[in-house]
Amino acid sequence: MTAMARHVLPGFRLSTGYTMLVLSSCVLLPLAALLWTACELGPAGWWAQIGTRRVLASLKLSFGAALLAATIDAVLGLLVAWVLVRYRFAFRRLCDALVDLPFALPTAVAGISLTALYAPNGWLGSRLAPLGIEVAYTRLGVLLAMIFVGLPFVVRTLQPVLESMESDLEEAAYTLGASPGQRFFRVLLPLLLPTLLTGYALALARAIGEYGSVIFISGNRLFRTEITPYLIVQKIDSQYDYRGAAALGAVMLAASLLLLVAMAWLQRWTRRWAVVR
Amino acid sequence: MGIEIYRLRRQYGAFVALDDVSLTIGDGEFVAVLGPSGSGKTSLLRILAGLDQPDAGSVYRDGQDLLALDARRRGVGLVFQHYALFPHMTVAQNVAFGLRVRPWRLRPKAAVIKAGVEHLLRQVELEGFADRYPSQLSGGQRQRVALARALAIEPRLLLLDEPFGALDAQVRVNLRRWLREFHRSLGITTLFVTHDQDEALEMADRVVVMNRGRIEQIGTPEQIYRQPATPFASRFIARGQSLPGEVRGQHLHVFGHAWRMENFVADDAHEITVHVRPEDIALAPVQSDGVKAQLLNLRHVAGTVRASLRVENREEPLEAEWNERDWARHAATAGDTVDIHLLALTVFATDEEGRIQARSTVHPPHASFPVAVGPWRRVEA
Repeated sequence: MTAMARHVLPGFRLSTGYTMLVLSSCVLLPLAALLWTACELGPAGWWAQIGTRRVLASLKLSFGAALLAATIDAVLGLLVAWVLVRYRFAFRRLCDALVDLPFALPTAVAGISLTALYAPNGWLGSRLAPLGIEVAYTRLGVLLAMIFVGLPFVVRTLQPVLESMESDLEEAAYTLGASPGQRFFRVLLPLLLPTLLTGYALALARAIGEYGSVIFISGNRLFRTEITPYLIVQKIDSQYDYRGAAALGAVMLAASLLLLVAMAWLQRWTRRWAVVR
Repeated sequence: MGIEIYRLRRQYGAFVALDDVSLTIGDGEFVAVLGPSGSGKTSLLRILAGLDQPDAGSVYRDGQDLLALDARRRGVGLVFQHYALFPHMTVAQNVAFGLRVRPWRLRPKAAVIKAGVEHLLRQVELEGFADRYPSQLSGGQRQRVALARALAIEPRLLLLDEPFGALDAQVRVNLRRWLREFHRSLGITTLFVTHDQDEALEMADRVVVMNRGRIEQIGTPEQIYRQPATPFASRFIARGQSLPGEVRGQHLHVFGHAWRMENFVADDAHEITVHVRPEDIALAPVQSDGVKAQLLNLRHVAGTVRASLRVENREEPLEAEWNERDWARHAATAGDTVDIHLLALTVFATDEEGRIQARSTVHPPHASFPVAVGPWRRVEA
């Protein structure tokens, strides 16, 4: 505390206190309440809630699809950010603005439009159906909705980093004899990786928590396309089972936390060269 | 043979970065391209490196068309002003980069690369730093890593883009000497771009003075100092300051004095420019035939005295420089009016488009000046 007492910037105590208050009341308190409610069940009751085939299938879908969606977002987002930063073309600004749309759009609207588009009688769905590809009311639809909502996170985190990246490094690699592929994979990608992981983690978090846009396109078919947040809502809506809902919530919380910690650790590892000793 | 640059032209929109630039660099020569920012020196460097293409002109190395080669295959080592080291690679990985990216047929074995890197790091005096990251090095060390990395590909031409621009003064002076010695030991043809006169004059065999996309003069540091080809070269290299003067017949008139000039024909000249260097303004003994000047201020800078002088007919004060020993013989202080002698004047006659028609250096005789000045040793331009 003696070191803190000598801060150059004034208001350390006040601002820290305020931060802690906001953080506790908005984040920690609700989470504690969630865990508390879940704990009221006891281990056996908890397992009775979680261990069912329906819940396990939903968890598998929620996390599996979210991981896959975030991975696809990372690749697509890198491409989009690259094109928007590196090239000048007609309607670039419009395209740039469009990236934010999944942010701004109410998720239900996104869900409905995706469903309308990909439903078997929809504009795209009717064309895909003859090829044997069903999107709406399948797991593919869940994945698609998750990709849709997560994309802006990757693009928006990468953009400023790409913009500030000096062309010096690429030119240096070029004059040293590196091919375009070598310049990308040996120079650019390792430098972008920490930021890409940040975007990945954000897209992943969003995909795991996504509700509105997914439930429309998924059709919520038992054992097949039910996501965990949907089950939580179901428990409360139809059975007023707050404890059961909290138990599911606690599992999601723990898994999400674990994933985010893993991402943070991975990100630090990819930035190990930036340490100044 | 070396490098033959012939009539290069590069234009960005309306801005002409390179205008008819021709230059020959001998094998193993160390050439500095000196000019203010926007003079086109970096454009020239980028074209030689293959990072840019000229609109017209050619570059040959030993008879081989360099412009037809992709930057990857040019064998040109480029050192950037801001180092451009790969931050995610260690020093050793940075240096080895140029060898590791070679197609596997041409790639040396790992052990050979390792030995080569160690050898290079020893050469640039960074033996113990192989496993450090660039963020753990000082500016001077980073620049030497960048040099080692450029040398690893065994370039036949080394290009340095303001290599000391981002370093502090002391490191810069040390690194300058070190690089000069280093070049002597390697003998790689080196082109070096800078806006710092001291750097260029101290290091290079030959200096290329550039201004607004054109080469103003090419010569040894001594040639350019003694016989600047253009008013710009005089101003930029020799700190030439223009004086109000005119040429009438065979006489140069400055500050009410007239001196005869030999072989100076400029009857139809558009403009006459008269330059004097700070060190060619001498303090005259009192009551002599000198020009009256008021001492505005004096700065003592490590062995030299710099003064601003107010002289009639000239808006801006004239800068003069004496060494402390000469200055100590005069009892003048700031605010005094003193007599000055102009020891050497360079006269340029230019036409409407700024082309030089005639050029001459005048050494005005001073009856009362005790030390004989001139005739100067002649240096062939």
